[in-house]
Amino acid sequence: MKNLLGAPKIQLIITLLPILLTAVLLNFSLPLLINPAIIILSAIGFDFLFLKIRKKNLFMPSAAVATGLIISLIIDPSAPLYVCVAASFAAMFSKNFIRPIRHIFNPAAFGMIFIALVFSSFTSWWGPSALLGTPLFFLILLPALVSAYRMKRYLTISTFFLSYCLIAVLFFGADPQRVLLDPTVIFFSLVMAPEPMTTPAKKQNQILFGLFLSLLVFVFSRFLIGLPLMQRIDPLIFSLLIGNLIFFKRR
Amino acid sequence: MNSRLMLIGGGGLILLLLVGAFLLLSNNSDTTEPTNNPITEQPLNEEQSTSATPAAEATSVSLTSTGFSPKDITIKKGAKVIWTNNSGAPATIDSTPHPIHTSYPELNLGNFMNGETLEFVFPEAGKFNYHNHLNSSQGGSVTVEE
Repeated sequence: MKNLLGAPKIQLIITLLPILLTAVLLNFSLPLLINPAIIILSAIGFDFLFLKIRKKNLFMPSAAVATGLIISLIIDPSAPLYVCVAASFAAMFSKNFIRPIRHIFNPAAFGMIFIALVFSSFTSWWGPSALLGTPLFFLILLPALVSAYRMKRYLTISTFFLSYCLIAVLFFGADPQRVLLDPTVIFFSLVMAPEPMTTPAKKQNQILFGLFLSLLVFVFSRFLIGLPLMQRIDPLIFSLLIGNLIFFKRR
Repeated sequence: MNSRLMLIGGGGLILLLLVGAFLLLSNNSDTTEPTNNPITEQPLNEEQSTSATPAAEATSVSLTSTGFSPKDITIKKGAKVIWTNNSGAPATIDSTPHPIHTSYPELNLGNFMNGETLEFVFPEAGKFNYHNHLNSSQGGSVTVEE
């Protein structure tokens, strides 16, 4: 039990659960109760299925649960159930099959891009945003204990967050207060950007990765937004996947 | 060296968040009424003040849990749009694109809680897309005619 609770993925789950539960309670509706359960269960199911197909031994599906939690927090709350299942399917597919040595893409991000392209389901970020303006806003900082401290991705996190904020404020005239307390950017910085299996571990590469991500977000958002493709996908998610691909060999 | 880098990175992050919190707390006492957003208090220019009452026209848009309704509206130059948050959750009105809101920064009206309203007078013609940054799948457009 002690070993189980000491695993970084389990600790990440423990920090994500309060965010999800609080967000659901604050915006209670039947879909918000059902969709996360479906997303997480289908992620586990698909992970087991694909492991069987790959003739691998089944193991604790902590990665699937963590991916399911992340998807639950950022998927459109009004997404139909089949879209929710599709997001989990695509996430676990990429984790199990798009992997020369290890999987290349952040599974949750891949799932979100898949449903954006196939079902025009845009990323929502409703979960972390629900806590804005409440005393429980600090909950979205909890994952930092895992991603920054346990997984040692503090350079990715700080580089991305700082450079994003500076660029937004200095070059695009953004309100510093809104940028610094943007739940979307905070959640992305602390949970999605530093996913350890798909991002660099070396300090120098972490810094490069963080800078690359923030620059890419602005390039996509500012200069490529007119492209039909960019109308349907979230620049943060897309930048992360491009970053995963480019830094796959630079760990 | 590891500890030092971690301290620097973590300290920078904490510092930024503290600055943000300070700004939030210091602004809260000044901006409790979203309808007092300075953007909505822009004086009409001379052309508008002498034209046929576009400023008297106001179109209402409701934000519910399923999105903006009506999603796409057409108004005259100088007319006002009033957004009401009936979604049950915090929301924003921000220009596209997400997440940097740079297409029409004047339309970055900020946050409004459930039950609150935001309004904006459109001083120029064109098509202006916006979205709820806190649930970026919710978006709409305002087409402004001469």
